[in-house]
Amino acid sequence: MIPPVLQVQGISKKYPGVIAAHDISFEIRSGEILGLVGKNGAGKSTLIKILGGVTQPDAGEIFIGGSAKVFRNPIDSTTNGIAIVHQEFAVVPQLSVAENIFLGLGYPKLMHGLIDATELCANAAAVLSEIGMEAINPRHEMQSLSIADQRMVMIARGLSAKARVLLLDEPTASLTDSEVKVLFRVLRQLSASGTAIIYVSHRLEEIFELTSRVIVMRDGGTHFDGATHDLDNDTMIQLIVGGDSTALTDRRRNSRKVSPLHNELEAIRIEHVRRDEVVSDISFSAKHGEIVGFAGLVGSGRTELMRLIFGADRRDGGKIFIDGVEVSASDPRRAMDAGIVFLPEDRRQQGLVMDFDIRKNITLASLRSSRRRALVPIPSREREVLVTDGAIRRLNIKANGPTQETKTLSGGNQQKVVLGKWLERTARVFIFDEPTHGVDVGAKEEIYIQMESLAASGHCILFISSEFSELVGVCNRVLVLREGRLVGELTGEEISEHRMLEMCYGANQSI
Amino acid sequence: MSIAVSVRARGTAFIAQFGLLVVFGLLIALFTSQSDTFFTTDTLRTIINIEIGFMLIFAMGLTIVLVMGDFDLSFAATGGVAAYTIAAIVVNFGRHWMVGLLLALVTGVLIGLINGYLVAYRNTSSFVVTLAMATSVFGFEQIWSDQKVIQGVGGQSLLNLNSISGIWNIRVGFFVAVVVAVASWILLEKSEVGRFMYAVGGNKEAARLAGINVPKLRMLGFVILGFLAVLVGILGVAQSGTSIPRQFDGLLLPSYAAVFLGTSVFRPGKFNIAGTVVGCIFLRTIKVGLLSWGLDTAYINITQGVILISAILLGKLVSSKT
Repeated sequence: MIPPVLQVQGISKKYPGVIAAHDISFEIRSGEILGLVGKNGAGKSTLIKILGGVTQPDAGEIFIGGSAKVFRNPIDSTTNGIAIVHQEFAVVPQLSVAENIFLGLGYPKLMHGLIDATELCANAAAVLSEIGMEAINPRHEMQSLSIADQRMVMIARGLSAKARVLLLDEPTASLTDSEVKVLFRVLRQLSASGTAIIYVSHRLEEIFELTSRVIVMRDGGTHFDGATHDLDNDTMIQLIVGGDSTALTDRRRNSRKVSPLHNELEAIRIEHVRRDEVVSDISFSAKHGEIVGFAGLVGSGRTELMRLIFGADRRDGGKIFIDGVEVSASDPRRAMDAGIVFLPEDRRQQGLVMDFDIRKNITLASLRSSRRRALVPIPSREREVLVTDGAIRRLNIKANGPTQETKTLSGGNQQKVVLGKWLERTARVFIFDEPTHGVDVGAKEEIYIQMESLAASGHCILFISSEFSELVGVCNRVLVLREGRLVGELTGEEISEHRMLEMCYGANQSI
Repeated sequence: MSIAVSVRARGTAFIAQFGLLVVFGLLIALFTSQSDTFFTTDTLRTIINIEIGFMLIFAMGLTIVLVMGDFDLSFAATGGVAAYTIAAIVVNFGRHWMVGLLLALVTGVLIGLINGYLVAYRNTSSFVVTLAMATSVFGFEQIWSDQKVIQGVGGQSLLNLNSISGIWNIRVGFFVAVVVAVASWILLEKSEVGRFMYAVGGNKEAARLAGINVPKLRMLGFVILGFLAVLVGILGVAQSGTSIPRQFDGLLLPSYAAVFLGTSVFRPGKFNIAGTVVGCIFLRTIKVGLLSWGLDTAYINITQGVILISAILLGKLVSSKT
């Protein structure tokens, strides 16, 4: 019997505090189209990284055509015939299509060593016509192409690298229906000519349409591996969701019924906010004292929505009201003056000045209030230290003192510094975007407590999390987003991981 | 064992913060031992009177711009055109020196505003914009000056700083430089604005999301440097009574050298005002010291270049160890 093109045997990968992949084994044969599904954090990304040679597994083996291989880097993966088309793909926008296809794979040379552009374009045209994409001109700049065409170019690149296994990660994100049809035609054609395809997607209808076999991942392991037609939509969702994790659900029962809403007054109202291609026409409102969760899969537009509300990105339409007063411009300063604060998802890139010590980060957004004299714009060091000491104690930040460099803190403590910075502002609405991401269990609990005490004192909290169990544990109400739209709302006892995931995957869609 | 480690760590930290000062002390000792005339008040006066003031003023403004992650290559040209504006107004057009002074100040601020607008609001490369600005500003200077030296600007009251002032025979330019240095230190190291400027340099996106007006601060940096460049131009004309084509071009790179050298003291790897002051004094003292040995300026340039690279490398080495 012919050995499978790719076989994965007992792959495991641990990160500090997290088991990202646990004893994963599967194989794929030539010409097969395999679906790979799982919720956020199920371990798909880790598996993709391992197959792409980006990270190395702690245990387990990879076999290509029956012989064991070690992928030390992405080049090893490529030379062994694995091509990966990432969701955020790596292209050089200023280079031509042909140059992108053969980038790093070797360009044809003229006698004196310069690139043979004619030959290069001819080769590119040949590969593109193999997938029926003659319409793409190899000489055009990559950045002049649509997202769909760029994805096709990346598939062509995989082919020209003699890929035997083609892995596509969420390839239909931001593609139109007709573009998706073209993509599927190309993939079927490739599979007919013997390429094995691994298709990673959150869109279950695509999995059913395209794949013959499917692997469901959960908590870093494979929970189902079998024929796609053995499953229907609901059973697949059941497999993806699993049971609700109980710890945080219990937490809610113990510590937080639904808090008596402060005064039933509307704190924030969003009307028809939109931004082309990422957020389409979203409206909602939230009250003082309420914690509203935002559930959604990667790419559902949650972060984008919050950035629009905070004014970090320009919105293409819609209105935002704080306590009934409209916030006119798309500008973080206006939003802050109106009483909104935003804890960004990426604390290193957006939340902190890593060169600053804790004190300077904590006081950055509220430096005025540390002035020694009200009219002289010179902060008093003593006051800043006082404020910082207070934040360190209140948030239980593990640090030597206010002058410790922020970059020497652990992830959880850095996150608390970001939180501390915003707590120094007198705000009405707090936006928390993945505040517990990459944070250890103890620090997580402390962040929840801060959120709850803010709510108890009448603040309104908008809470994005990809860990749905924590939304269950903390929120009064959860809004679910899917592909830039608001698709559902859960309140009180309705809130469960299961229901959220069903909505994320569009289980109740009337088809 | 652990004590040894901590002693070594403290030693490394000490070298990182004060290594340049130690080298400076050693060099002064060396110059003194090799030359009878070096360690005298005359040498000190030379350094103060002709060598350090202008560079210090330029370097203060430059530090502010560099802190926010921008470059400015136009300040020397701005100083030059300011000097010529005054000289031409007074000598060629026979107007009151105040007219020239005002015109020069307006020019400097305008250059800063244009630089800042293009860089911070139009998102262009500060390197390219200020290089282009330097080129065109020099063109204007050529028109003003006809590429000739203009002499005899002094003679009118306030502008006549020709003579050495009464206080310890030190020129006014030096005192102005001291005032500028203190003001820059307060602005950058003590005030809210300075804290925000450092935040802009450290992480523009975090600064923006913290409600800081990032482009406005970056523009302010260019305007401050434009203003200080004009100040240098005014002092140049006032003290010498003459204006020479491309008078301050020779200070462009040494000013950068001083600021970068300053990143190897006090706060390793970071631009800071006190460091820049030390950098200026260091470079100028070495120059005077080497001159006192009778070395040619060519060798002085080489020495200063080598010192700058060594200091930066040492800083990198030390900061990667800690």
